Amino acid sequence: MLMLMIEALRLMAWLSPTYPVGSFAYSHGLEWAVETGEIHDEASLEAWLGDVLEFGAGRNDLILAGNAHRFAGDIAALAAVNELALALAPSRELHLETSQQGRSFLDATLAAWPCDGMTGIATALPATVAFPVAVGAAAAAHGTARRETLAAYGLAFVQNLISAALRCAPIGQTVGTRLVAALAPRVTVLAEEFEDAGLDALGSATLRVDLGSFRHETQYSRIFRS
Amino acid sequence: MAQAPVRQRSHGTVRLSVSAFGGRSRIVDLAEAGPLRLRFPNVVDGTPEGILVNTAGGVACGDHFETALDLAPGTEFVLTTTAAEKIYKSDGPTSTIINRVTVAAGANLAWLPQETILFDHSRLRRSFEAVLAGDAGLLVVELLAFGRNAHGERLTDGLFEDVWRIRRDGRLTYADALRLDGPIDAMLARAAIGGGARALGTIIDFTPGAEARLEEVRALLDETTAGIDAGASAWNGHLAVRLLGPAIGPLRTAAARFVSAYRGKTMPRVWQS
Repeated sequence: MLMLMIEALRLMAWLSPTYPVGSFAYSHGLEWAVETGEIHDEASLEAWLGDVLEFGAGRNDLILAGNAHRFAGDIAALAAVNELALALAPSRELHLETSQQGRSFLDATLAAWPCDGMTGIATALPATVAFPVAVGAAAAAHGTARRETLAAYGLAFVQNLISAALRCAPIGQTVGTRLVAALAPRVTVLAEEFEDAGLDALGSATLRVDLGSFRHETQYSRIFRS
Repeated sequence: MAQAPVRQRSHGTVRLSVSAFGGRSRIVDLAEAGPLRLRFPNVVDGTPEGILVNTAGGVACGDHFETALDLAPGTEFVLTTTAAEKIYKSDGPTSTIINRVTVAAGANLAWLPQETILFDHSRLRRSFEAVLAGDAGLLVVELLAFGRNAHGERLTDGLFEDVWRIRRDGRLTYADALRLDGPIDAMLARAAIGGGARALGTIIDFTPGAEARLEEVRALLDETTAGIDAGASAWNGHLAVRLLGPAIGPLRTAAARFVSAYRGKTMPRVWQS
Protein backbone atom coordinates (compact mmCIF):
# COMPACT_ATOMS: atom_id res chain seq x y z
CA MET A 1 0.00 0.00 0.00
CA LEU A 2 1.42 3.36 -0.94
CA MET A 3 1.35 6.03 1.65
CA LEU A 4 0.10 9.47 0.72
CA MET A 5 2.89 12.00 0.70
CA ILE A 6 1.13 14.20 3.26
CA GLU A 7 0.86 11.26 5.66
CA ALA A 8 4.59 10.60 5.38
CA LEU A 9 5.37 14.25 5.97
CA ARG A 10 3.07 14.36 9.00
CA LEU A 11 4.90 11.42 10.59
CA MET A 12 8.24 13.02 9.80
CA ALA A 13 7.12 16.23 11.48
CA TRP A 14 5.64 14.53 14.55
CA LEU A 15 8.69 12.35 15.13
CA SER A 16 11.33 14.90 14.28
CA PRO A 17 13.72 16.03 17.05
CA THR A 18 12.29 19.54 16.65
CA TYR A 19 8.78 18.47 17.66
CA PRO A 20 8.18 20.02 21.09
CA VAL A 21 8.09 16.89 23.25
CA GLY A 22 11.50 17.27 24.87
CA SER A 23 12.92 13.91 23.72
CA PHE A 24 16.44 15.34 23.94
CA ALA A 25 16.18 15.25 27.75
CA TYR A 26 15.84 11.45 27.93
CA SER A 27 18.42 8.72 27.40
CA HIS A 28 16.34 5.70 28.51
CA GLY A 29 19.04 4.61 30.93
CA LEU A 30 21.79 4.88 28.33
CA GLU A 31 23.63 7.53 30.31
CA TRP A 32 24.11 5.09 33.18
CA ALA A 33 25.37 2.39 30.79
CA VAL A 34 27.93 4.88 29.50
CA GLU A 35 28.91 5.81 33.07
CA THR A 36 29.54 2.15 33.95
CA GLY A 37 31.47 1.55 30.73
CA GLU A 38 28.94 -0.91 29.29
CA ILE A 39 28.66 1.41 26.30
CA HIS A 40 32.09 2.53 25.17
CA ASP A 41 32.31 2.05 21.40
CA GLU A 42 30.31 1.36 18.27
CA ALA A 43 29.89 -2.37 18.87
CA SER A 44 28.75 -2.03 22.48
CA LEU A 45 26.36 0.78 21.55
CA GLU A 46 24.89 -1.20 18.67
CA ALA A 47 24.38 -4.28 20.87
CA TRP A 48 22.73 -2.19 23.59
CA LEU A 49 20.45 -0.31 21.18
CA GLY A 50 19.51 -3.48 19.29
CA ASP A 51 18.49 -5.16 22.54
CA VAL A 52 16.51 -2.18 23.83
CA LEU A 53 14.78 -2.10 20.45
CA GLU A 54 14.05 -5.82 20.07
CA PHE A 55 13.81 -7.05 23.67
CA GLY A 56 12.93 -3.90 25.60
CA ALA A 57 10.98 -0.67 25.40
CA GLY A 58 11.31 -0.40 21.62
CA ARG A 59 9.35 -3.57 21.10
CA ASN A 60 6.79 -2.81 23.81
CA ASP A 61 6.28 0.75 22.60
CA LEU A 62 5.52 -0.48 19.08
CA ILE A 63 2.95 -2.93 20.46
CA LEU A 64 1.39 -0.17 22.59
CA ALA A 65 1.38 2.33 19.72
CA GLY A 66 -0.20 -0.28 17.47
CA ASN A 67 -2.95 -0.98 20.00
CA ALA A 68 -3.57 2.72 20.58
CA HIS A 69 -3.88 3.10 16.80
CA ARG A 70 -6.33 0.20 16.58
CA PHE A 71 -8.50 1.42 19.49
CA ALA A 72 -8.25 5.17 18.87
CA GLY A 73 -11.99 5.41 18.28
CA ASP A 74 -12.97 3.34 21.33
CA ILE A 75 -12.76 5.53 24.43
CA ALA A 76 -12.72 2.74 27.02
CA ALA A 77 -10.28 0.52 25.11
CA LEU A 78 -7.90 3.41 24.41
CA ALA A 79 -7.94 4.45 28.07
CA ALA A 80 -7.13 0.85 29.04
CA VAL A 81 -4.16 0.71 26.65
CA ASN A 82 -2.89 3.96 28.13
CA GLU A 83 -3.33 2.73 31.70
CA LEU A 84 -1.35 -0.41 30.88
CA ALA A 85 1.36 1.56 29.06
CA LEU A 86 1.88 3.82 32.08
CA ALA A 87 1.81 0.93 34.55
CA LEU A 88 4.47 -0.91 32.51
CA ALA A 89 7.02 1.88 32.97
CA PRO A 90 9.71 0.04 34.98
CA SER A 91 11.13 2.95 37.01
CA ARG A 92 10.41 6.47 38.15
CA GLU A 93 12.53 8.05 35.41
CA LEU A 94 11.17 5.83 32.63
CA HIS A 95 7.65 6.67 33.80
CA LEU A 96 8.54 10.36 33.54
CA GLU A 97 10.12 9.78 30.11
CA THR A 98 7.00 8.29 28.59
CA SER A 99 4.39 10.40 30.41
CA GLN A 100 6.01 13.79 29.91
CA GLN A 101 6.58 13.17 26.21
CA GLY A 102 3.11 11.70 25.79
CA ARG A 103 1.41 14.73 27.31
CA SER A 104 3.55 17.17 25.33
CA PHE A 105 2.96 15.29 22.08
CA LEU A 106 -0.79 15.25 22.57
CA ASP A 107 -0.96 18.95 23.43
CA ALA A 108 1.24 20.00 20.50
CA THR A 109 -0.64 17.82 18.03
CA LEU A 110 -4.07 18.92 19.26
CA ALA A 111 -3.02 22.51 18.76
CA ALA A 112 -1.39 22.15 15.34
CA TRP A 113 -3.31 19.24 13.77
CA PRO A 114 -6.81 19.41 15.27
CA CYS A 115 -9.54 17.14 13.92
CA ASP A 116 -12.62 15.38 15.34
CA GLY A 117 -10.59 12.25 15.99
CA MET A 118 -8.00 14.18 17.98
CA THR A 119 -10.72 15.74 20.10
CA GLY A 120 -12.09 12.27 20.82
CA ILE A 121 -8.69 11.03 21.88
CA ALA A 122 -8.11 13.99 24.15
CA THR A 123 -11.45 13.26 25.81
CA ALA A 124 -10.68 9.57 26.24
CA LEU A 125 -7.25 10.01 27.77
CA PRO A 126 -6.49 11.31 31.27
CA ALA A 127 -3.91 14.01 32.01
CA THR A 128 -1.13 11.42 32.10
CA VAL A 129 -0.52 9.88 28.69
CA ALA A 130 2.13 7.40 27.57
CA PHE A 131 4.15 8.57 24.54
CA PRO A 132 3.54 5.58 22.22
CA VAL A 133 -0.18 5.71 23.01
CA ALA A 134 -0.36 9.42 22.12
CA VAL A 135 1.49 8.86 18.83
CA GLY A 136 -0.46 5.75 17.83
CA ALA A 137 -3.84 7.30 18.61
CA ALA A 138 -3.03 10.61 16.89
CA ALA A 139 -1.85 8.78 13.77
CA ALA A 140 -5.11 6.83 13.66
CA ALA A 141 -7.15 10.00 14.14
CA HIS A 142 -5.49 11.38 11.01
CA GLY A 143 -5.92 8.15 9.05
CA THR A 144 -2.21 7.37 8.95
CA ALA A 145 -1.40 3.73 8.26
CA ARG A 146 -0.46 1.70 11.32
CA ARG A 147 2.64 -0.08 10.06
CA GLU A 148 4.24 3.13 8.82
CA THR A 149 3.41 4.82 12.10
CA LEU A 150 5.14 2.06 14.04
CA ALA A 151 8.18 2.16 11.77
CA ALA A 152 8.48 5.94 12.13
CA TYR A 153 8.07 5.71 15.90
CA GLY A 154 10.69 2.96 16.11
CA LEU A 155 13.23 4.89 14.07
CA ALA A 156 12.67 8.05 16.13
CA PHE A 157 13.22 5.99 19.30
CA VAL A 158 16.54 4.70 17.96
CA GLN A 159 17.64 8.09 16.67
CA ASN A 160 16.90 9.74 19.98
CA LEU A 161 19.08 7.24 21.85
CA ILE A 162 21.88 7.64 19.32
CA SER A 163 21.63 11.38 19.73
CA ALA A 164 21.92 10.86 23.50
CA ALA A 165 24.97 8.64 22.98
CA LEU A 166 26.65 11.32 20.85
CA ARG A 167 26.35 13.67 23.78
CA CYS A 168 27.52 11.41 26.62
CA ALA A 169 29.58 8.59 25.10
CA PRO A 170 32.84 8.50 23.14
CA ILE A 171 30.83 8.10 19.95
CA GLY A 172 31.23 10.33 16.89
CA GLN A 173 28.75 11.52 14.28
CA THR A 174 29.94 9.03 11.64
CA VAL A 175 29.40 6.09 13.94
CA GLY A 176 26.03 7.43 15.05
CA THR A 177 24.82 7.79 11.49
CA ARG A 178 26.11 4.34 10.58
CA LEU A 179 24.12 2.88 13.48
CA VAL A 180 20.93 4.61 12.35
CA ALA A 181 21.44 2.98 8.96
CA ALA A 182 22.19 -0.41 10.52
CA LEU A 183 19.20 -0.38 12.86
CA ALA A 184 16.60 1.01 10.43
CA PRO A 185 15.98 -2.37 8.71
CA ARG A 186 15.51 -3.98 12.12
CA VAL A 187 12.89 -1.33 12.91
CA THR A 188 10.94 -2.19 9.76
CA VAL A 189 10.96 -5.87 10.70
CA LEU A 190 9.49 -5.03 14.12
CA ALA A 191 6.87 -2.71 12.63
CA GLU A 192 5.67 -5.55 10.40
CA GLU A 193 5.82 -8.11 13.18
CA PHE A 194 3.80 -6.00 15.63
CA GLU A 195 1.41 -4.23 13.27
CA ASP A 196 -1.47 -6.44 14.39
CA ALA A 197 -0.07 -7.71 17.71
CA GLY A 198 -2.39 -7.67 20.71
CA LEU A 199 -1.41 -6.61 24.21
CA ASP A 200 -0.60 -10.24 25.05
CA ALA A 201 2.53 -9.84 22.95
CA LEU A 202 3.98 -7.32 25.44
CA GLY A 203 7.12 -8.49 27.14
CA SER A 204 10.64 -7.31 27.73
CA ALA A 205 13.92 -8.81 28.86
CA THR A 206 16.11 -5.75 29.36
CA LEU A 207 16.58 -6.24 33.09
CA ARG A 208 19.80 -4.25 33.21
CA VAL A 209 18.20 -1.28 31.47
CA ASP A 210 15.56 -1.23 34.21
CA LEU A 211 18.14 -1.66 36.97
CA GLY A 212 20.41 0.93 35.34
CA SER A 213 17.51 3.34 35.27
CA PHE A 214 17.14 2.86 39.05
CA ARG A 215 20.84 3.58 39.49
CA HIS A 216 20.73 6.61 37.19
CA GLU A 217 18.52 8.36 39.76
CA THR A 218 21.55 8.80 41.99
CA GLN A 219 24.19 9.16 39.27
CA TYR A 220 26.51 11.96 40.41
CA SER A 221 27.03 13.77 37.13
CA ARG A 222 24.21 13.57 34.62
CA ILE A 223 22.73 15.53 31.76
CA PHE A 224 19.61 13.43 31.08
CA ARG A 225 16.36 12.98 32.98
CA SER A 226 16.42 9.21 32.37
CA MET B 1 20.62 -33.85 31.83
CA ALA B 2 18.18 -34.62 34.63
CA GLN B 3 14.82 -35.85 33.42
CA ALA B 4 11.56 -34.67 34.90
CA PRO B 5 9.77 -37.35 36.93
CA VAL B 6 7.52 -39.35 34.60
CA ARG B 7 3.94 -38.63 35.58
CA GLN B 8 0.64 -37.22 34.48
CA ARG B 9 0.12 -33.55 34.03
CA SER B 10 -0.75 -32.01 37.41
CA HIS B 11 -3.45 -29.50 38.16
CA GLY B 12 -3.12 -28.02 41.62
CA THR B 13 -5.07 -25.26 43.29
CA VAL B 14 -5.12 -23.63 46.69
CA ARG B 15 -7.69 -21.06 47.74
CA LEU B 16 -7.51 -19.41 51.10
CA SER B 17 -9.53 -16.77 52.89
CA VAL B 18 -8.23 -14.98 55.96
CA SER B 19 -10.67 -13.16 58.23
CA ALA B 20 -10.40 -11.27 61.48
CA PHE B 21 -11.91 -12.63 64.68
CA GLY B 22 -11.50 -10.77 67.93
CA GLY B 23 -8.73 -8.68 66.43
CA ARG B 24 -6.72 -11.69 65.22
CA SER B 25 -6.27 -13.01 61.70
CA ARG B 26 -7.73 -16.51 61.26
CA ILE B 27 -7.85 -19.02 58.45
CA VAL B 28 -11.55 -19.33 57.67
CA ASP B 29 -11.69 -21.10 54.39
CA LEU B 30 -9.16 -23.33 52.71
CA ALA B 31 -9.70 -25.38 49.56
CA GLU B 32 -6.94 -27.57 48.18
CA ALA B 33 -6.91 -29.70 45.04
CA GLY B 34 -4.25 -31.71 43.29
CA PRO B 35 -0.71 -31.64 44.62
CA LEU B 36 -0.85 -28.17 46.23
CA ARG B 37 -1.22 -27.94 50.01
CA LEU B 38 -1.10 -25.08 52.44
CA ARG B 39 0.22 -25.66 55.98
CA PHE B 40 0.03 -23.30 58.95
CA PRO B 41 2.65 -24.34 61.45
CA ASN B 42 3.38 -20.91 62.85
CA VAL B 43 1.76 -17.76 64.06
CA VAL B 44 4.47 -15.12 64.36
CA ASP B 45 3.62 -12.01 66.40
CA GLY B 46 -0.06 -12.69 65.81
CA THR B 47 0.37 -13.08 62.06
CA PRO B 48 -0.42 -16.53 60.64
CA GLU B 49 2.16 -17.92 58.27
CA GLY B 50 1.10 -20.17 55.40
CA ILE B 51 3.59 -22.55 53.84
CA LEU B 52 2.73 -23.66 50.34
CA VAL B 53 3.73 -27.25 49.61
CA ASN B 54 3.88 -28.73 46.12
CA THR B 55 3.68 -32.47 46.87
CA ALA B 56 4.50 -33.23 43.22
CA GLY B 57 8.00 -31.95 43.96
CA GLY B 58 8.12 -29.48 41.10
CA VAL B 59 6.51 -28.24 37.93
CA ALA B 60 6.85 -29.96 34.57
CA CYS B 61 5.36 -30.51 31.16
CA GLY B 62 2.20 -28.46 31.11
CA ASP B 63 1.37 -28.59 34.82
CA HIS B 64 -1.04 -25.94 36.00
CA PHE B 65 -0.87 -24.46 39.50
CA GLU B 66 -3.08 -21.80 40.93
CA THR B 67 -2.94 -20.06 44.29
CA ALA B 68 -5.59 -17.57 45.39
CA LEU B 69 -5.49 -15.66 48.67
CA ASP B 70 -8.20 -13.40 49.95
CA LEU B 71 -7.48 -11.20 52.98
CA ALA B 72 -10.45 -9.60 54.73
CA PRO B 73 -10.22 -6.05 56.11
CA GLY B 74 -7.63 -5.59 58.82
CA THR B 75 -6.03 -9.04 58.51
CA GLU B 76 -2.37 -9.97 58.23
CA PHE B 77 -0.85 -12.96 56.48
CA VAL B 78 2.56 -14.20 55.39
CA LEU B 79 2.90 -16.69 52.57
CA THR B 80 6.03 -18.70 51.88
CA THR B 81 6.92 -22.05 50.32
CA THR B 82 8.37 -25.18 51.84
CA ALA B 83 11.25 -25.30 49.37
CA ALA B 84 12.54 -23.84 46.14
CA GLU B 85 10.11 -24.44 43.28
CA LYS B 86 11.76 -26.48 40.53
CA ILE B 87 10.63 -25.97 36.96
CA TYR B 88 11.77 -29.15 35.17
CA LYS B 89 12.68 -29.73 31.57
CA SER B 90 9.61 -29.83 29.38
CA ASP B 91 9.20 -32.11 26.39
CA GLY B 92 7.09 -29.41 24.75
CA PRO B 93 4.14 -28.09 26.73
CA THR B 94 4.35 -24.88 28.73
CA SER B 95 3.42 -24.99 32.42
CA THR B 96 1.42 -22.25 34.06
CA ILE B 97 1.46 -20.83 37.57
CA ILE B 98 -1.27 -18.33 38.39
CA ASN B 99 -1.11 -16.40 41.65
CA ARG B 100 -3.97 -14.13 42.63
CA VAL B 101 -4.32 -12.12 45.79
CA THR B 102 -7.07 -9.84 47.02
CA VAL B 103 -6.17 -7.61 49.93
CA ALA B 104 -8.92 -5.57 51.57
CA ALA B 105 -8.56 -2.23 53.30
CA GLY B 106 -6.30 -2.28 56.32
CA ALA B 107 -5.02 -5.78 55.49
CA ASN B 108 -1.38 -6.68 54.88
CA LEU B 109 0.09 -9.53 52.89
CA ALA B 110 3.75 -10.48 52.70
CA TRP B 111 4.35 -12.79 49.71
CA LEU B 112 7.69 -14.44 50.50
CA PRO B 113 8.09 -17.67 48.53
CA GLN B 114 11.50 -19.27 48.31
CA GLU B 115 13.25 -19.11 44.95
CA THR B 116 12.06 -20.60 41.67
CA ILE B 117 14.67 -22.61 39.77
CA LEU B 118 14.38 -22.82 36.00
CA PHE B 119 15.95 -26.03 34.66
CA ASP B 120 17.34 -26.15 31.14
CA HIS B 121 14.53 -26.59 28.56
CA SER B 122 11.86 -25.60 31.08
CA ARG B 123 8.81 -23.71 29.84
CA LEU B 124 6.78 -21.61 32.26
CA ARG B 125 4.21 -18.85 32.09
CA ARG B 126 3.59 -17.28 35.47
CA SER B 127 1.31 -14.48 36.53
CA PHE B 128 0.81 -12.50 39.70
CA GLU B 129 -2.36 -10.47 39.99
CA ALA B 130 -3.25 -8.35 42.99
CA VAL B 131 -6.41 -6.47 43.75
CA LEU B 132 -5.82 -3.99 46.55
CA ALA B 133 -8.42 -1.86 48.29
CA GLY B 134 -7.81 1.49 49.92
CA ASP B 135 -4.78 1.32 52.20
CA ALA B 136 -4.14 -2.42 51.73
CA GLY B 137 -0.48 -3.41 52.02
CA LEU B 138 1.36 -5.91 49.85
CA LEU B 139 5.02 -6.86 49.79
CA VAL B 140 6.07 -9.23 47.01
CA VAL B 141 9.43 -10.99 46.85
CA GLU B 142 10.27 -13.24 43.89
CA LEU B 143 13.69 -14.81 43.39
CA LEU B 144 14.65 -16.71 40.27
CA ALA B 145 17.58 -18.96 39.43
CA PHE B 146 18.42 -19.32 35.75
CA GLY B 147 19.51 -22.95 35.77
CA ARG B 148 20.74 -25.02 38.69
CA ASN B 149 23.65 -22.74 39.42
CA ALA B 150 25.28 -25.20 41.82
CA HIS B 151 25.51 -27.74 38.98
CA GLY B 152 26.81 -25.15 36.53
CA GLU B 153 23.69 -25.71 34.44
CA ARG B 154 23.07 -23.21 31.62
CA LEU B 155 19.70 -22.48 30.06
CA THR B 156 20.50 -23.34 26.46
CA ASP B 157 16.81 -23.11 25.64
CA GLY B 158 13.57 -22.39 27.42
CA LEU B 159 10.66 -20.07 27.99
CA PHE B 160 9.97 -17.92 31.01
CA GLU B 161 7.21 -15.37 31.04
CA ASP B 162 6.29 -13.51 34.19
CA VAL B 163 3.33 -11.15 34.08
CA TRP B 164 2.43 -8.83 36.97
CA ARG B 165 -0.73 -6.78 37.28
CA ILE B 166 -1.40 -4.76 40.44
CA ARG B 167 -4.64 -2.83 40.82
CA ARG B 168 -5.63 -0.54 43.61
CA ASP B 169 -9.23 0.66 43.90
CA GLY B 170 -9.86 -0.50 40.35
CA ARG B 171 -6.89 1.31 38.81
CA LEU B 172 -3.92 -0.51 37.30
CA THR B 173 -0.92 0.95 39.12
CA TYR B 174 1.85 -1.49 38.21
CA ALA B 175 2.41 -3.95 35.41
CA ASP B 176 5.39 -5.94 34.28
CA ALA B 177 5.92 -8.54 31.60
CA LEU B 178 9.27 -10.31 31.62
CA ARG B 179 9.78 -12.52 28.61
CA LEU B 180 12.81 -14.72 28.06
CA ASP B 181 12.22 -16.98 25.10
CA GLY B 182 14.87 -19.14 23.43
CA PRO B 183 18.57 -19.36 24.33
CA ILE B 184 18.09 -17.76 27.76
CA ASP B 185 21.70 -18.11 28.92
CA ALA B 186 23.00 -16.40 25.76
CA MET B 187 20.40 -13.66 26.17
CA LEU B 188 21.37 -13.11 29.80
CA ALA B 189 25.00 -12.71 28.74
CA ARG B 190 24.07 -9.52 26.87
CA ALA B 191 24.79 -6.21 28.61
CA ALA B 192 21.28 -4.75 28.34
CA ILE B 193 19.57 -7.99 29.38
CA GLY B 194 21.43 -9.78 32.17
CA GLY B 195 25.10 -8.81 31.97
CA GLY B 196 25.96 -12.44 32.71
CA ALA B 197 23.60 -12.74 35.68
CA ARG B 198 22.28 -16.19 36.61
CA ALA B 199 19.87 -15.05 39.32
CA LEU B 200 17.22 -12.36 39.55
CA GLY B 201 15.44 -10.86 42.51
CA THR B 202 12.39 -8.61 42.37
CA ILE B 203 11.06 -7.03 45.54
CA ILE B 204 8.14 -4.64 45.29
CA ASP B 205 6.33 -3.03 48.17
CA PHE B 206 2.85 -1.72 47.47
CA THR B 207 2.24 -0.78 51.08
CA PRO B 208 1.16 2.82 51.63
CA GLY B 209 4.22 4.79 52.69
CA ALA B 210 6.65 2.48 50.87
CA GLU B 211 7.54 5.15 48.34
CA ALA B 212 8.83 7.40 51.10
CA ARG B 213 11.31 4.72 52.22
CA LEU B 214 13.51 5.00 49.11
CA GLU B 215 16.50 6.66 50.79
CA GLU B 216 16.40 4.19 53.68
CA VAL B 217 16.19 1.32 51.17
CA ARG B 218 19.21 2.53 49.22
CA ALA B 219 21.25 2.62 52.42
CA LEU B 220 19.98 -0.85 53.38
CA LEU B 221 20.90 -2.24 49.96
CA ASP B 222 24.43 -0.91 50.38
CA GLU B 223 24.68 -2.76 53.68
CA THR B 224 23.03 -6.03 52.71
CA THR B 225 23.75 -6.79 49.06
CA ALA B 226 27.53 -6.80 48.61
CA GLY B 227 28.50 -8.63 45.41
CA ILE B 228 25.02 -8.23 43.94
CA ASP B 229 23.97 -5.66 41.36
CA ALA B 230 21.15 -3.93 43.22
CA GLY B 231 19.03 -0.83 42.79
CA ALA B 232 15.81 0.76 43.95
CA SER B 233 13.25 3.17 42.60
CA ALA B 234 9.92 4.47 43.84
CA TRP B 235 7.03 5.98 41.91
CA ASN B 236 3.23 5.85 41.75
CA GLY B 237 2.95 4.82 45.40
CA HIS B 238 5.20 1.75 45.30
CA LEU B 239 8.84 0.93 45.84
CA ALA B 240 10.75 -1.51 43.64
CA VAL B 241 14.07 -3.26 44.23
CA ARG B 242 15.85 -5.29 41.57
CA LEU B 243 18.74 -7.64 42.21
CA LEU B 244 20.92 -9.38 39.63
CA GLY B 245 23.60 -11.79 40.73
CA PRO B 246 26.07 -14.38 39.47
CA ALA B 247 24.29 -17.25 41.26
CA ILE B 248 21.18 -17.83 43.35
CA GLY B 249 23.12 -18.62 46.56
CA PRO B 250 24.56 -15.16 47.20
CA LEU B 251 21.50 -13.45 45.76
CA ARG B 252 19.18 -15.34 48.09
CA THR B 253 21.38 -14.52 51.07
CA ALA B 254 21.42 -10.84 50.13
CA ALA B 255 17.67 -10.73 49.47
CA ALA B 256 16.88 -12.41 52.80
CA ARG B 257 19.15 -10.01 54.65
CA PHE B 258 17.60 -7.02 52.94
CA VAL B 259 13.99 -8.16 53.37
CA SER B 260 14.45 -8.95 57.08
CA ALA B 261 15.99 -5.55 57.71
CA TYR B 262 13.34 -3.81 55.62
CA ARG B 263 10.45 -5.55 57.37
CA GLY B 264 12.12 -5.50 60.78
CA LYS B 265 11.28 -9.21 61.07
CA THR B 266 13.22 -12.39 60.54
CA MET B 267 12.42 -14.40 57.43
CA PRO B 268 9.97 -17.29 57.83
CA ARG B 269 11.68 -20.28 59.46
CA VAL B 270 11.71 -22.34 56.23
CA TRP B 271 14.05 -19.73 54.73
CA GLN B 272 16.64 -20.28 57.40
CA SER B 273 17.57 -23.86 56.55
